[in-house]
Amino acid sequence: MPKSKYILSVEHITKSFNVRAKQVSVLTDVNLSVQEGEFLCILGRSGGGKSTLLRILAGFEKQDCGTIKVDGTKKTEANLDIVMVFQDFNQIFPWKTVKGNIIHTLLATKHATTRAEASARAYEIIQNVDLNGYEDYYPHQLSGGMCQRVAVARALVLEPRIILMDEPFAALDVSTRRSLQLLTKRICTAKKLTTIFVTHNIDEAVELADRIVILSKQQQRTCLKIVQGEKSVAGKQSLTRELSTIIHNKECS
Amino acid sequence: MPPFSSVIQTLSEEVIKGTLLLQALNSLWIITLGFFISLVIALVVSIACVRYKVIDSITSTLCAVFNPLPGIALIPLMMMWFGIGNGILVALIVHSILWPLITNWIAGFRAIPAVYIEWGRNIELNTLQIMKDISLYAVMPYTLSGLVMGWGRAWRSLIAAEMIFGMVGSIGGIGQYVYMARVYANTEQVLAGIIMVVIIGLIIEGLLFRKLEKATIQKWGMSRAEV
Repeated sequence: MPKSKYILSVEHITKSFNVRAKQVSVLTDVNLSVQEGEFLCILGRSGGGKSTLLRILAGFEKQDCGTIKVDGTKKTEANLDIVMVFQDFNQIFPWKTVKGNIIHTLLATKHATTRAEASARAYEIIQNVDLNGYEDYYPHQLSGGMCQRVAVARALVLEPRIILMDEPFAALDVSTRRSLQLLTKRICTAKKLTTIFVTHNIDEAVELADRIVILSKQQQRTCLKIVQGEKSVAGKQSLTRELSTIIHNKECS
Repeated sequence: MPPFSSVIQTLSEEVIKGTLLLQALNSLWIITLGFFISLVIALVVSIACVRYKVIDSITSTLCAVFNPLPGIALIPLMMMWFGIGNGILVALIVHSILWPLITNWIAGFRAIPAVYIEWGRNIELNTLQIMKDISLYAVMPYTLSGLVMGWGRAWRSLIAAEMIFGMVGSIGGIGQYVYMARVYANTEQVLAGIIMVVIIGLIIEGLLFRKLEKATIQKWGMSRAEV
């Protein structure tokens, strides 16, 4: 099979939920393609279907119709190709230490065959996310930001094809969020990792993204508008204004 | 009322002689056996309840009926049906532990944060691995809660059964020791037996469960769930 130009293709995804015996449409005919190594941000208001789309991509929810393809191959269930970092601080296992969480991930997925190998790789990734010295801490002994670093490390250590991040820094204070944004961007760029990052924060999307997808709903229809990210400070400022206008006016492509 | 020193002397003599110790060990053996049987049944039933609504509905009814029923009330019926033997005592222990444990575990399995299970699915763990690596740890506060509750009920029921019905099992047990001491009007031995009951209760509840709690949920920062 010829290799697809895109690492991820989302084709005609539709999803609705049954709420109090009524079908509520969340996503209608969503089409999206993501290139390898791209940092894509999905931006939009609450209830717009951002998280649902991410959960479908991860394989946690089944779409009503449409297909997800990774490297041209249809994806049907959760697997190690696409790994998720959740919003919840409590996503890492409280009964394992920082190191223990990462070692468990490596051994359970057979990314390491011996405990010694897993331990060495755990130390390495812990250093990458600036948590040295905290290897033997339990999650309840860490701050929310530190827990999210562990979650990011736990996902990164698997070297997935695609990493999904569902508002991972939304509940953090401004300075912690900023430092985690920089850290995430640095690691994802260095590892050339394809990242899909959901946020409702325009500044965060502008800061991180190579490309931004604005997801909104108009008359029960999902609208996508795609804009390119900016590198320069002036470009970012103008992009922020443009995005605010789009989101405020609910402009659709 | 005999002097306290004479009670302590009787207690130490009986322990050294091995009579009291043997009875206590017999009671502990029966309770341990009942504990393990309850754990296995409760685990299977609780998982089935979380997965199948019909089983959940049946179990909820059974819990509502049997949980408030003191085990001791079932002893005459069990004696009529099964005769005298250690089996009755084990059944009594299972009855005492099973219902609080199932109630706690059903609540515990339902309260497992979805992100734990989703992460398990994400890293391609199968159902058994998710159970072994994630669910059993995540329900630990509920497990301890159920075990402590079950232990209290089981210990009280066992001693009461041995005291009221005398030699129910083959050796007798600590309750039977107190019962026989009462028959022979030996107050020192009655008190020595009661002290032994208290000591074992304190060791299991105050030391074993407290240590287990400290080594697990307290260390992990998972507060104890009250159900």
